Amino acid sequence: MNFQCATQLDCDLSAIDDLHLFLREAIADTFGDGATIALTERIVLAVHEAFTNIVRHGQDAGREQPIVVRCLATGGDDRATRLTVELIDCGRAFDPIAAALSRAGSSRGGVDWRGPPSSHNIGTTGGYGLSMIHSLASDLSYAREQGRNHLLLTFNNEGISQ
Amino acid sequence: MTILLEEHQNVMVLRPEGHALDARNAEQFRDSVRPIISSHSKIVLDMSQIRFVDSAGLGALLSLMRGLASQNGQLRLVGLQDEVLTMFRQIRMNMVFEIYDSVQQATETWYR
Repeated sequence: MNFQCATQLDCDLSAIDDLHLFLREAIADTFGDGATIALTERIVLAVHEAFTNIVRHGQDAGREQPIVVRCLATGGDDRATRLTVELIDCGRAFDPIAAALSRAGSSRGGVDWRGPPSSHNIGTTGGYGLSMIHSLASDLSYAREQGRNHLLLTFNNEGISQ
Repeated sequence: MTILLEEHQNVMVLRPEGHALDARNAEQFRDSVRPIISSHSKIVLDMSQIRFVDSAGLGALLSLMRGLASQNGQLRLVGLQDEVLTMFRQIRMNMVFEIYDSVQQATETWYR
C-alpha cells in the first residue's frame, strides 16, 4: 500500500500548527487504527524538531523560500507499515546526522542512538532537538542536492509486523 | 504565554495557559518563572492545558527544576495529558520529573 501527500510551509515558527495538522492527518491516513498516541506523538515530535531546527539554524539565506514536507507511506497490503517524512529546504547545508555525531564526540559507537536524551545530556538545558530526532525516528538520511537540504525521517509502526 | 499563579500552604501552583510549551514560547516561559523561583521553593506546575512539549519546552522545564534544586527547592508536575505523558515516557523524562495526578496529591506529600 502506497500513499503520498505533500505541503509547503512558511519558514517560520508560526507554521508549526499547520505542520502538526498536516502530520496528524497523514499519520491517521497512513496507519488508520494503528495510529496510536505513542506512534503519532513520536512522529509529530521528531518532525517538529527537524522543522524548528531548519527555521532556527538552517535558513539564513533562504528564509523567503518555503519548507516542503512530503509524506510517503509504504509496506503492507491493506495498511501501510512505514511512514517516511521528507523535509526539503533551501537554507545553508546542514546535516543533522553529522552534527549529532560531532556533538556526541565523533564516534557513532559512543552514542546511545535510541536512548533517552537524559542519558547523555541531562546536564545541559539545551541541545535536545537533534538527540530527540535520532531517538524517535526509526531511520534518518540526509542529502544535499541542487542547493537544497533533503532530510528523510522514517518511522516504522512497530505494532505491525514488518 | 499567560501563567496563572495560585499560592497555598507555601506552595506556588503555576498554570500555563496555551496548548503547547515549545520553541514558540519556551523563552517567555523561562523569563516568567525566573522571578517566581527566587521567592518560592515548592512549585507545582499544572500542565493540564498543554498537549505538546518539544525540546525547547523540555529545556525550560529542566531549567526550572535545576533552578529550584540549586536552592533546595522542588518542582512537581501535575495534569499531564496523554500526549505529553506518552512523549515523556518515550524519552524517559517521566523518570526525571516528579509527576503527580493532581495538585492536591502533589502538595499533600510535602506536608505529610
